[in-house]
Amino acid sequence: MPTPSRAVRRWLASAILAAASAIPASAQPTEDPSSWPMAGRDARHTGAAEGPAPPYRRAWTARLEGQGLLAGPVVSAEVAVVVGRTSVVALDPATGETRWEVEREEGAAGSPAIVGDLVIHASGQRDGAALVGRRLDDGREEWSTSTGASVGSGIAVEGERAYAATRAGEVLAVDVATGEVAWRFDTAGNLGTIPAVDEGRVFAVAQSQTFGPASLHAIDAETGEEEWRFSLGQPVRSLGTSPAAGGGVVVAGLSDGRVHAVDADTGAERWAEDALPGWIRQPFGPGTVPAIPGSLAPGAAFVAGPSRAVRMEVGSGQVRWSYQLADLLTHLSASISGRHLLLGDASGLAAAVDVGSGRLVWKAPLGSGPVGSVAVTEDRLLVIVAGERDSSVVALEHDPEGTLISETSPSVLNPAWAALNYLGAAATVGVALWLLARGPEALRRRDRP
Amino acid sequence: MTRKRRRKRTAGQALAPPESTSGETEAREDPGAAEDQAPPSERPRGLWSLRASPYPPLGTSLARGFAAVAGSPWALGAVFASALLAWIVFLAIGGESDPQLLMAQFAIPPVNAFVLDRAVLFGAGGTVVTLLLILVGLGVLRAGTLTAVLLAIDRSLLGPERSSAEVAEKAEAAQVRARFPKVFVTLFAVYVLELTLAVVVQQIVAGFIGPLFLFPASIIALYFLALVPVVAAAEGAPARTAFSRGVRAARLPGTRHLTLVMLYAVLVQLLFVFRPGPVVPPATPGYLTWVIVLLVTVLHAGFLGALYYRWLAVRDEVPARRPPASTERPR
Repeated sequence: MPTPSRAVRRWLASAILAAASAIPASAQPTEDPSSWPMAGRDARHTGAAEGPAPPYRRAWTARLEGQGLLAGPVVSAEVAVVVGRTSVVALDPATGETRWEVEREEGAAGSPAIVGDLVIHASGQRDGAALVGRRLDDGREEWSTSTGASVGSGIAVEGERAYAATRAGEVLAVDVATGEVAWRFDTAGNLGTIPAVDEGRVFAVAQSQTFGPASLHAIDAETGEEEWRFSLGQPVRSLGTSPAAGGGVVVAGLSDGRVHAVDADTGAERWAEDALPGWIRQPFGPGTVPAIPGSLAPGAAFVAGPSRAVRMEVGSGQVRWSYQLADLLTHLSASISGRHLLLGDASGLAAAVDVGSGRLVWKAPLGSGPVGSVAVTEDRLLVIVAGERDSSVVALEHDPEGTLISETSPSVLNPAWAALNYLGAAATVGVALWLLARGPEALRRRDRP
Repeated sequence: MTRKRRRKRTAGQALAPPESTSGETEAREDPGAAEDQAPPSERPRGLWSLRASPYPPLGTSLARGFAAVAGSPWALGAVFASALLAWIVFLAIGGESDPQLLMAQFAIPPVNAFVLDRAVLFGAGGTVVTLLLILVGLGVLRAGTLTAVLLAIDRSLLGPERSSAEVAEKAEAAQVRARFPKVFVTLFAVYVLELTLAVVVQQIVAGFIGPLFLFPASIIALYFLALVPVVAAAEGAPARTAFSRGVRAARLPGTRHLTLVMLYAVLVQLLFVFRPGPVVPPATPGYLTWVIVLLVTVLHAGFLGALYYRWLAVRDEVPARRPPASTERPR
């Protein structure tokens, strides 16, 4: 059966959009199935889309020289955008060819956001930092708004406004059409996280400048007034994460190293769990963005730290499963394609884990450098793979001739193997040391007439 | 420098108690001779004394110490059990079964308190009650395994002498069992004090100087406190006496104690650079990981054995009580 043409797919997407606009925002699983317009898929950070199922094969690779670690990708129906050290690059999602490339002021490069026919990205650093709106078709600048401090995390867009957090601790609301700042909210902290937006509220996690306790703020999206604040005291064991919102709760990792769920209306804590280990390294990474996928994985929240990714129950905080790879996870913004959570680690390995069973079903090396963010579209996964100086955007598609695997996570203890390994090692070391210490004398005694 | 007549010994023979160096000192011009004639309480101590170190040489100490551990099934069994118990305890309190944690778990006190257990307490988090339970659990684990290993080393170093006095094997084992509770209680108290010291130092050092000074601070503490658990086990002394004699023993003249401590510090530092297995360790340690962990644990125990051997050589020079200072100088 022939696949629908691109024009038909766009028509279907438009029809879906029109129908979906009549449905309350919190019930909508996706807007455009061919788009991944911002980090976490949408402003709530659902992190999920009906994308291709594993196994995957490489469709194309676009190498971007001299751009360092890329931020993004974000994808609309016709263009994928990544932000590099000194450039903003638009690629054709079907072929990987460069559509346009424009320069930007060097500085922190958080994930951009696509809204309508514009792409909004961060530019510059410190006092020269700005948010810039560019036309999606040719990259021409439409507007530029000074932010006063670097925007290093990412941008969330909901309705007619874009929301960003600065290193100086301010949350900004900017009109996407004109770039005018609607309001600024000072959290008195240091914001390295991406705000989430749900049901008229902006949620942001702030942490004090000297690595102090974190606080989760709920801000009225229209007026910029704070509605409530959830704060923690000592001890501080970790950086806080970006929040994810859905089903009346906000989920975020906070400075005590635990994942918290807070009531979105009142700010009251629902639960807090030690979901990720934190003895050797911090439980959360600077780019951790949880996901509450909604209908694609009902009642679930996904959080990824450097050591492992976990699926938790949104209602109770119970950890249903966890998965770890051999190296540190570097793709920390949870991305779900259909029924599979996508993982990437520092060695360049990409993997897919079944969200129901928690078993790994596919893995493949994509490069020699760490795997960065993943965007999920209807028929492609777009994956950032970092190099020492150059980075690549790798597009994966479903491989009908590939095979699936089934591997349990190494984070699951196997008591039988643990006992066998220990006893074998103890016997080996014990015999070797005994021979070293006593063996020659024992042999001499035996040989004596 | 004093030259010791080497005793011909094969690996299987008994490890005789270390010889006193004073009886074999050759006549020579010794700038510290006058100091030798002074009562023990008046002899200058510390690194800068002119007197030769009363400790056995480094090579001899390490050889005797490692032989005491490797040649004793009891010592090896206690060392291996400590690694397994530590792994079980770490899993039970929600930690990772990281090879570096396991390699450091039998580090000579107070290094394990400074480097590992302090991090475990802060990493575990939870309520005050939870932390207290973890502290008690760690204390029981540390004191129990250390007591077992030290008594096994004691038996290995001194047991053949007792056997030569026709002490039955069973009676000897009974003696060890009888000594265990007292030594355990003392080492538990020593551990709690050292962990408290580690936490206080961390708050002061990390707060004002920076976290990089924590490891050097642990080495300084090791220099003064390394012999404390050895004294507690060898003499059956209470904690106060063990601290007193242990610190005074560390301050005996010469640089041999410092050399042993620095060698151990360098090896421990290298261990923290080395990580067997994957970057993110699996919950089930592999065979090779266990081999490495057990070998490193034996390494720690071997240095402990060397310290024990040295204590047996100098114990007479560090009495339980300081004799009153004499006002008359020797002629």
